Order: sequence, then C-alpha cells, then structure tokens
Amino acid sequence: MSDNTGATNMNYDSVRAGAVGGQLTRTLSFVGLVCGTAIIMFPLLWMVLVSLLAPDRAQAATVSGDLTKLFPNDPQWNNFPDALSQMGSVRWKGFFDALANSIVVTTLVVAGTVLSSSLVGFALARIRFRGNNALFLLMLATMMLPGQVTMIPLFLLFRNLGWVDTILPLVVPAFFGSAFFIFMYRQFIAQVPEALVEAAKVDGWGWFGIWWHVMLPLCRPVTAICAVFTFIFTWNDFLAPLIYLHSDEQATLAVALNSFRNQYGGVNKVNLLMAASLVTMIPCILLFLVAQRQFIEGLGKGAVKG
Amino acid sequence: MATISLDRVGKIYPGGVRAVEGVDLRIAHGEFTVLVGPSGCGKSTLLRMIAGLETITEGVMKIDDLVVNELPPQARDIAMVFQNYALYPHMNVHDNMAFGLLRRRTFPSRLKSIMSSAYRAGRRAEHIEISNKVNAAATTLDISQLLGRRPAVLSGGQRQRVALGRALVREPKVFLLDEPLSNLDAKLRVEMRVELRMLHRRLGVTMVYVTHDQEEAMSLGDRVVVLKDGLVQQIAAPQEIYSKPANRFVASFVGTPTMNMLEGTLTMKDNWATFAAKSLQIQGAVEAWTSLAQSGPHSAVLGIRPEHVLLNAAGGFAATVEAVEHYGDRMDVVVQTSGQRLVARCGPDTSIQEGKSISVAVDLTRAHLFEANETGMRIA
Repeated sequence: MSDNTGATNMNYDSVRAGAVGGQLTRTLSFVGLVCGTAIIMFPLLWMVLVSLLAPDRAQAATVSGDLTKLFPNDPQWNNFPDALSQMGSVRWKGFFDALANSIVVTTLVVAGTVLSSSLVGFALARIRFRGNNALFLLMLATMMLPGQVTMIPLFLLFRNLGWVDTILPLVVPAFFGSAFFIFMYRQFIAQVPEALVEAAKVDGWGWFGIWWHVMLPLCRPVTAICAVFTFIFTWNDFLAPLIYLHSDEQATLAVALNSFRNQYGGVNKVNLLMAASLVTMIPCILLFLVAQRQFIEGLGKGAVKG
Repeated sequence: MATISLDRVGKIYPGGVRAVEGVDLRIAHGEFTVLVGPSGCGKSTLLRMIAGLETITEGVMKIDDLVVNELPPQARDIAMVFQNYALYPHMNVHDNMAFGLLRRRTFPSRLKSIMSSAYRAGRRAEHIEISNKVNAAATTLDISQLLGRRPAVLSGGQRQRVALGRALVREPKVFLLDEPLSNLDAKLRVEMRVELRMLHRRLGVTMVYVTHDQEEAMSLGDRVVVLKDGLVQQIAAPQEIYSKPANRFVASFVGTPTMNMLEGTLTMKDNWATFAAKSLQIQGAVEAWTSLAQSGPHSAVLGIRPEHVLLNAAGGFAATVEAVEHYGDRMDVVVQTSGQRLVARCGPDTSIQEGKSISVAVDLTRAHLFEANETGMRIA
C-alpha cells in the first residue's frame, strides 16, 4: 500500500516538474516570438511614424539619426494626399496613372501565370508523350538561373521587338508560365485520381476541356498560392518596370515612388515617400490578411517541394 | 444500342507484358455481357480497350461495324462507370450528371450569348433540356433529392447511383461498368445487382460489365466471358458455364463452394465407369462417357460439384466428417475418405456431426471429366 502511495507521489512530482518545465518553455518561446515580431514590425512602425512627421522633424529623425524626433507630436495627416498628388510631373495624374498601370500589369500577370502554369503543369502531369520527363527537368533547370543572367539578353530581345516602354515585356512572359508554379501544379495534379481524367474523357471532353472544367477547379489551393505570391511579387516589383518602362505615363507604383528621390540618389521628402509607400502597400497587406492561410501554407509547400 | 465485335484483339504493354491475347468476341444489341476472372486476368484492360482508355496493340475492334481501334473515348459514344465512381468532387450531383451533355451543346459559348439574343434563347432552351434529362435519369435511379449535393456527402450506394446516372443521362450506345459494386457492402451489392438487371431490361442497351465476383457474373450476365492470364477461357450463358465448364479453371472458378477435383484413372467398360483416385474408387453407369471405352484406361481429373456429392446415401463409400458449415437453409460438409477430401452441399441435417462416420456417394452422371494435363480441357 505504502509502496503504491510512494509511486503516486513520485508520479505527481514528475508531472508537476513537467508542467513547470512546459510553462517555462512556453514563456520563453512567447518572449522569443514577441522579440522576433518586434524586430520584423519595426521597419513598418518606422514607416508609419515617419509618414506622419513634419518635413523638418522627419529630416532630423532620419538623416541626423535623432530618434527622439521619431514620434510625431503633431501627426501630419496631410502628408498622404500631398505625397500622392506629388507623384510624377503632373499633380495627381502621376499617382492615378501609376495605380492604373500597376493594376493592369498585376492583373494580367496573375491571370497569365495561373492559366499558363496550370496548363503546363497539367500537361506534364497527365499527358504521356515522348520527352515529357526531359522537358520537366529542363524546366526545373531554368529555376537555377538567376534573373540577372537573362536580364540583358531579354532586354535586347524586347528592344528588338519594339516593346520597350510598353507593358508587354512585363506581361507577356507571364503567359509562358513560371517554372516554380508549373512545378507546384504538376505535383498537385499528379495526385488527382486518374479516373477523373478518364471519366471526363469518356464524357466527351478533350484535354483543354478537362483542364478547364476538372483540373483548374480542383487545383484551387495551388491557384490561391500562385495568385497571392504572383500578385505580391508583381505589385512590389521595382526592377523590371524600371528597366522596361521609361516614361512617366507607363510607370507602375513602385517606379513612381522613385520620383521622390533627387538626382543625387538622396531623398528630398522622406515623410512623403513613406506616406506614398504605405499607400502602395495597402493592397498587399489586405491580400495577406485575406489569404494568410494560403500564404503560409504556400511558404511551407515551397520549403518542402522547392 | 450497338453491337461490339472483337477480332483477335490483344494488348502488349510497352515493357513487353502481355495483358490480353487474341480475344474473339461478338456482343449483340442489348446484350448484357460480363467479363469475369481473377485479379490480373486482363478483364479491366479489355474493358478499358473497348472504352478507348487503353490502346489496342493487336486485332480489330468494331462498334456498330465501325473500326474504333484508333478512336479516342470521346468519339466512341460510350459511357463508363468506374470502380471508385470517379465523380467530380467540385460539382454537385446535377452538374456531375450534366457534364457529359454540356460537351454536346449546340450553343456552348457564353460570350456569343451576350451578343446575340437568338443564341441566348437557344442556349437557355438547351440548358432546360439538359436539366430535364438529368431530372429524368435522377427519377429513374431515385436520386432526385440528391441533385444539389456534392459527392463528398453521399454514401457509397448513393455515389454508385450518381455514377450510373451520369452514364444513363447521355443515352450512349454502350454502357461499360468496371466493378461498379465492389465498394459496396454485401447487402447493398445484392440490391444493386437486382436494380442493374432491371435497369438493363428497361433500357435494353448493350452493357459490358467487369467483375471478379463469379456470383455477380452469373446473376447479371446474359453471357459470361471467363478470362485467365489475358486469355478467354470460355464464353457462354451462365447456366452453360456452370453445367459445362470448358476446362478445369472455369470449373473451379465458377461455383461456391469450389468444384471437387480428383486426379486419377478412368476405366470404361461399355457404359460402366470406374474412376480410381488413390485408394478411392467411384463407380457408376454413365451413358455419356460410353465413347471413352475404346481408348482404354486413361488419366483424367474428375470434377464433382458439391451438390452432387450425396451424403448418407445407400451404396456409398465410408468417410469421416471433418467440418460442417451451417447456413440455415443449407450446409456445407467437408468429408475425408481414402486420402481424398470432398466438399458436399446438402440441406440442413442435424444428424451430420464433425468427427462422425458417414456414407458418401457421387452422382457420376452429373460429374465432369477433364484432361489431366496443364490445360485441363473438358473431356466429357
């Protein structure tokens, strides 16, 4: 009897020690996560604070490094309309042009990437043809090439086609698929039961019909990831529009923000730049909040399969 | 309705594996043909070849006198019910059933319907027609209440009906069914079997059905095609398959419990047969075997259906009861005699008990005789 009691006490102690240990681990990880979040969020907070500062205070806080000036005692809400109206050479026009260009480019690139990547992924996963695997490997190999390697040849190609200073160099390549998303679609479609494809064939549909009516709706999780990633990348892309779009009328938002820089590479009105940057970030932040689950799942998938 | 004809049809996979070999088969208008055989016998491959889902590497296949060897499934006007139903998970039951009809629309373009009112009207009328057809098929299969649901929330039996409905609604020339009942529980399987049979009678369409379950094959088919290792063993009506199996394989594949097979020597003296298997001797008058008397004694395999092994019979040989299986209305009894084991089927009889001695006789007039070699062809 006493032995049993002793054993029970020992168990109780070990359980209690375990519970304390678990609580400590939880607290430590919580503190770690809070610190991490603070570090990650600091630039965003800095942007928000600077965007509300008066010009002299912003200059002192950023250029002179006087952090005490970082907190606005008198928030300048007018910075936002001022910043947007001062984009480009004509008041307000620069902003609306850039906004329209960004929307058009991003929409077309997202649509192009989703349609072409899913179509190619479907073909690679489902259609048996000679050289299927070789083509797939070749496509994977293109993922190893850094963008900088193809930058100049691509520019020369598009210049010869007369596409410079149009949105075509930004949009057309998207309709030829993205290697990474083709890979994701292929892996996903390969797991869809073959019987569904066969049933659709017996129902009278050809490859395009099966892709459009059966595969694309089934690939919704991959499509969500593909669309969200492509949207964020394209919306924020600075380099490609900078290379191919030269006139103010063609500029996207990311390039238009560049008008706040002076000819020496410095920033004249840092508070207005931050205000304009915050506004351009809104769609991405909203999209991230709406599609947060897909976004994180997508990162996970990329980590495992990429 | 359609006829299907297969002329020396075969299938060799790229690796050199032969799945189907030299199949000759004529399926008449409105016939219910069942392909049956053990796993890996090539029955599903043959069905998929008829569907156009597998290429035909040898021979000629015709549907209604049209050679279909090179035709894709879309062009064959067939419908197929898959083993795992293959319902589109993102569509509800109505859309699943209508999917095949949508392909055949005369007014498919949504864009044109925006621009032309005549086109729009045609498109609308076509949609109503499709819905009517779906509703009619749903009523036939008693699934009208399920039309708005997705496949994920349906039971196995309901999914099965939807898969049948999807085939039915298209009014195809040929119905192909690939083990459609194998995922259902035993009770539902028997119910669906009856319904399928009734459906076939009502529609009068040509159906080709694949199963590994010989009982299902016998109960459903107008004709049964027994396959083994890609080769056709026998094509006949179910009763003939049972009463006159072409070889030992068919004899032992069809029927439950399996036919008793005894290897031994047959000696005929006029119409009097003596079959000696080890120390067991079975004798009797068999008119049908009289012609065998001329060739003298020869090795053979005697096949006896369990219901033709008679227990407690006068003039029989002594045996010991090894096991008894009761089924209520009947019982299967395993007896052992002279080193041979026989299974008998009889009505319920409480006097037969395990371990007891019993008199056993064999009705030789209803026995089957097969060659003792590997092919085991039927002698008589």
